[in-house]
Amino acid sequence: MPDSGRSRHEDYLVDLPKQRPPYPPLPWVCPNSTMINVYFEVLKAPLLDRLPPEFCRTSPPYCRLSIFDHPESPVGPFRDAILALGCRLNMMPAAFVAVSITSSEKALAAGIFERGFPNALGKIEFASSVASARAVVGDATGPLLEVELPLLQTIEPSRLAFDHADSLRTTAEGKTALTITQPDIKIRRAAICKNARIEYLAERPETAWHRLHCRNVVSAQLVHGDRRFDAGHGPG
Amino acid sequence: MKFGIFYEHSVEKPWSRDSELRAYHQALEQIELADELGFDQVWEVEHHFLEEYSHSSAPEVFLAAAAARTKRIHIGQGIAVALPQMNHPARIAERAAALDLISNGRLEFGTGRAATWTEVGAFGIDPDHTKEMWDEVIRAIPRMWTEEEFEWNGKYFKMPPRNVLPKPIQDPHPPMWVAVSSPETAVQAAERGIGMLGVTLGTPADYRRLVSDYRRIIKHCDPVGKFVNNQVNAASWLYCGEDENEARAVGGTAAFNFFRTAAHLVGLGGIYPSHAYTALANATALLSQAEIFSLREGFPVGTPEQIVQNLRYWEEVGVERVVCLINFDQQIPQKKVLASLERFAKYVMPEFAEDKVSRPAGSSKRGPEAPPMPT
Repeated sequence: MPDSGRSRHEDYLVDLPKQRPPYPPLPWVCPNSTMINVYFEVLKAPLLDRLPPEFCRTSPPYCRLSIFDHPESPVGPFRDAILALGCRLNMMPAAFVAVSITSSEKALAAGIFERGFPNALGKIEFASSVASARAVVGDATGPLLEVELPLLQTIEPSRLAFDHADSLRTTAEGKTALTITQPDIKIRRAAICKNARIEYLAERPETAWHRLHCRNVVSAQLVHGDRRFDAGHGPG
Repeated sequence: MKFGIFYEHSVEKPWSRDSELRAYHQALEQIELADELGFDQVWEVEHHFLEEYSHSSAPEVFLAAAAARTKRIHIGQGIAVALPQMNHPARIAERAAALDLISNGRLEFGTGRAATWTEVGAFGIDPDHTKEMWDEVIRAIPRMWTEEEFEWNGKYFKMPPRNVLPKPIQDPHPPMWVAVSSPETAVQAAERGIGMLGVTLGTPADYRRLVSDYRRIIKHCDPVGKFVNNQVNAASWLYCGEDENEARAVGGTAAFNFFRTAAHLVGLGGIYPSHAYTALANATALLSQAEIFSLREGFPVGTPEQIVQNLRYWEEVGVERVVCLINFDQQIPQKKVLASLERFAKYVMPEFAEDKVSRPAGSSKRGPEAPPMPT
């Protein structure tokens, strides 16, 4: 059997604020959103270190980095970045969110309470055109990585599909709950890039962003559509 | 209808120093018995770096050993990966011809392109061009086998004039096949006049449309080889048990573990969406747990009587042959695997016998509905 994850659920517990910060009720419809998505290979040890034991790694191990730009939303413009571990849950494809950053305090609150991610505030730069796309993801300390898609090729949107995201959400009782968030972008336009690159901007070995270092980019996509920022649900 | 076996050389963890040794040698023993019992073909896959699922990266070596130990069973490359960056076409032709000689004319030449990122990514192959690469290579190889001065100036490889040696003993050359797992590839197999080597462990219902399209289109094919091979093989899982409970417990469990391991592979559709590969997202699992444990219609797992009943579905679909996996790692003890083969040969095969004599080695392969040879 392929290796099961070896992280502890407690590794994903966060301190919930005593009072839930106000935010508009989910789901939020975020029209005209853009997503950069990159699949890349990683080493198996750091992936297994962050994967809960319910999940198994794939062969080869890989990650999915998704960076979203929402020019419009019920909480105003915001961006988020998700680093998910490619894996299997009961033989089905899954993507476990190891770490995630958002630029919006309200999205952070909604994510922590209802999705299990995002779970950190940071700064995200994002620029895209018909020809190329670029994003820089940073946390409270500073820039972490830069993603560049230098040459885009249009592709039929029906060729793309993305799996659900899985996470461990902290409950009000201070426990973890496996939470599944459905694919959340309705694709209107799409492009692929065959020479995408990820550059790490600072030595931050304490972060999952760097520990899950890109060894080999597999593929990259740029997607435009309407995103539905929704609550997750339990399995089954 | 005829029957064959095929090998992935799965080796489940935890690994010991001799895990792979045992897998290979137990397989050779099984093939020797299968030859004696009248199984028609044995196939071996070519995969690279697929931990646990398949440790079968040098199939011609293994198949040569199998050929040397057997007399009648046909030896199938299931497949030779026809991508120049992985296997130079001249090397494919050379190794296949050598296998045909060692087996005294029993080679079945299966081709295909790799389906996982693990493999194409490792060899630096652009997944978007694998279909074109395969098409170019399968047009070149029959000419390598039949021409004394072969020259090629293609898109994916070039060769100055050379005599590719040795030549196969089958005249004009071994039957050609392609691995088929989609309706599109079934059509392409038929258009090129080569055999349809089913590699998806599906049900007869899954294969019905593939076979129907294949049979219809091959009647008007433009063959890439010197003759048409219009045979269809289906792939499945075989365990012929003492009783139903034993069959499910032993064969069903091993089948489930195989599918579970396969589910952890990363197919190109999973993380390489492109013009050539539609992203599958949540559809990339092969089978659910429920489906496997229910032992889907057509799976030859059960008592001999149950297996006969299941195989009738395949007869209706019209495949020439059902080729089966018979173990996963060594989860089924060797004695039970051999007993299953013997039980199958004794009680099931006779129910489907049309021609009990294997095709003579060295004969060329034409199906009953082959179109006239091109002039």
